[in-house]
Amino acid sequence: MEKRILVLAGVLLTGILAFGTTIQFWTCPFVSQPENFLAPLVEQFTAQTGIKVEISVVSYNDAVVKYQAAIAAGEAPDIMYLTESRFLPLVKFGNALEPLDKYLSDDLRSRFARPDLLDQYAATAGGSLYVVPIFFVTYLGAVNVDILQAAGVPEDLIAKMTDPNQTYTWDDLLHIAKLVTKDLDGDGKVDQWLYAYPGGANWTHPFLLWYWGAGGSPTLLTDEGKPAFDTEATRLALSFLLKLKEEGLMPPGVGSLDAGDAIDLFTAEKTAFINNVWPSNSLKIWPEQFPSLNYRLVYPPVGPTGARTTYFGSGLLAIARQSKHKDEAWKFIEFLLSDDAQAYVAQSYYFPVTGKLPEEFANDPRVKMYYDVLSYAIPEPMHPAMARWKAIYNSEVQAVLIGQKTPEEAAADMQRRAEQALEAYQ
Amino acid sequence: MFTISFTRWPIIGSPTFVGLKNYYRLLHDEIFLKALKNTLWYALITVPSITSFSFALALSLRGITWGREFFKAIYVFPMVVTLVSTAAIWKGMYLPFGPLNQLLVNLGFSPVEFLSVGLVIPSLCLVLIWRDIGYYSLFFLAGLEEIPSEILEAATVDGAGAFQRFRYIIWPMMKPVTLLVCILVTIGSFMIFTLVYVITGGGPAYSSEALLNYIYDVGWREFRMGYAAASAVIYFFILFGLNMFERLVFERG
Repeated sequence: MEKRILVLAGVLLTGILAFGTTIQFWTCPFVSQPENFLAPLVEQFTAQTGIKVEISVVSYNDAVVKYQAAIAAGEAPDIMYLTESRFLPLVKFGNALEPLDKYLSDDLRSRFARPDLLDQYAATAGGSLYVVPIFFVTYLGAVNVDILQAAGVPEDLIAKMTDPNQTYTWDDLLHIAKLVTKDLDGDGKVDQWLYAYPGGANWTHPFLLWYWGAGGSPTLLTDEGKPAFDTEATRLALSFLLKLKEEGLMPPGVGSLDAGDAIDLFTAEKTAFINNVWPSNSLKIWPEQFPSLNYRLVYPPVGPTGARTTYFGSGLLAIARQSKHKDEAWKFIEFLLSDDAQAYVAQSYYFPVTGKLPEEFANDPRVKMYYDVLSYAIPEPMHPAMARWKAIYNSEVQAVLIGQKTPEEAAADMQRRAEQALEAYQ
Repeated sequence: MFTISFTRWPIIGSPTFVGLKNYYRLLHDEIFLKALKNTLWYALITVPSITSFSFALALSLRGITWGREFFKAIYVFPMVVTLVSTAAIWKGMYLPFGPLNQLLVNLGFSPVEFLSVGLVIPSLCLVLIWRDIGYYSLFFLAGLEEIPSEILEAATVDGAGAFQRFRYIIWPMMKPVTLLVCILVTIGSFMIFTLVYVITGGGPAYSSEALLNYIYDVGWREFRMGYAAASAVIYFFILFGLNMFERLVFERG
């Protein structure tokens, strides 16, 4: 009896103490205005628990910088939005994240569609779980159907690109590139191409999509734990991009294009193919902003070594070790993993990690395509040196695209520089 | 900063003393050396350009009476716009399919890859020059207005032409202002960070990477604060040395 009273009093006390608490949640703009998008969820959470949530938005580019600065100043937010490549530095340097193993119940763990990912996050961080995903995305490609048809690309080839049970290859892409690359207005200058590689973007995935497609290591590491850049996969990927460039099948200036420019070229119908289309773009933004753009989602091509891969990314949440409201922060994360909240987040075209997709999405064949690639989609590599490696491989791809280096030289330099970078983390 | 440059410090946690290791590594760091070279190029192009153009602009502004305030406002306007906005606008202008290339094509020229390896530094300098000449012309204009008109009139009466008036009266009296502008532009060119960050990200293949961008990347993206501090110390001494050199040149000249 006394024990029950004590437990009840404890629960009541925790509730009273939590009531009126404000937690700080710093998020990246996974939607254009995340604070507005999440407002109804926050309102519901506050009504249920009495805990207020203040949302601040930090850019993807500067997220880790801002977090590091806040942590160093002793002003870390309670909850931080991260991605696979962004959380390890915070764990490795300064042990800044709170292990979440003790918070994550077996019941909640069992509701994750891919619990193996939780194990992977824990394994890469030395055994403890520091982040939990709240949504995921995969990438598909897209083709401009009007351009392909006008260029005489065979219908059966277009059909192969959109059929999960059939495949098309890099050679097919090259063949299509030759058909669609044209001078449309007859001024002697080419003004339509197949694909624009965003050579000026320091993003994680543009190069990796080709590298993985050529059979590159999913973790960017060899079995011995060394960087896996001076490999056949790197050379094949770079050679393919160089071939597209040298044969005039990519627009001029790709060495300086950022990812947004490359997307703009596709939506402006200057290019006919794009390989990094995330769901919110293809399912929401493009239909709204470019109603006349006649595009079709396509599966990833099969690379020269027979590999078919794409990118898998998650929105991860972590609790700062400095947080004075860890329990309240976890309550909010738990709330975001509830079926209702997951269904709400899915409206932003980021897919639920627990629970099911809302009916209207589940029946959409285009959404099904994003789920089809899950079996071979590769998560963003997790390594504390990833920020440096990303800058290294992107600059070496640039060097190839602008004719400074051959694929062989660039692959060798990537390896050398990645190994040097690794020294700083050992 | 000087103390941190002798440590290895990932910002969180305690720094570890590593002696001169950071400096030794920097001297063999190809990206650092490239960023240093690029930064010197930025200074080499912008300092004489901005100084001479803004001086010329001030001279022409001094010569007009009607609409001077209007032109002053127009020329200073780029300085009022935030640098990030300026950079974003110019980034769009420089795109392979951007307005500048459209204009060139319409005029019958071939499109230019403004952000290619060979042109990226002059292209970024052009933005800095466009932005700064109006602002620095105000410094020169203020200096020119300090020159007593009697002296210039007396020289004219004595038969001095425009060049002689400039050579023997205006230039010697404007030296302090010119030195100030040179120093400020040199510092400005070393602080080109935002333009590089927004327009090129340092590319292609580090061909536009500036020292400040390098320091930021090393410190805040790679969490190597000690190494970044060592770069910053070198940055400081180079900038200090350049300013001293400019001072010396003007004092002796």
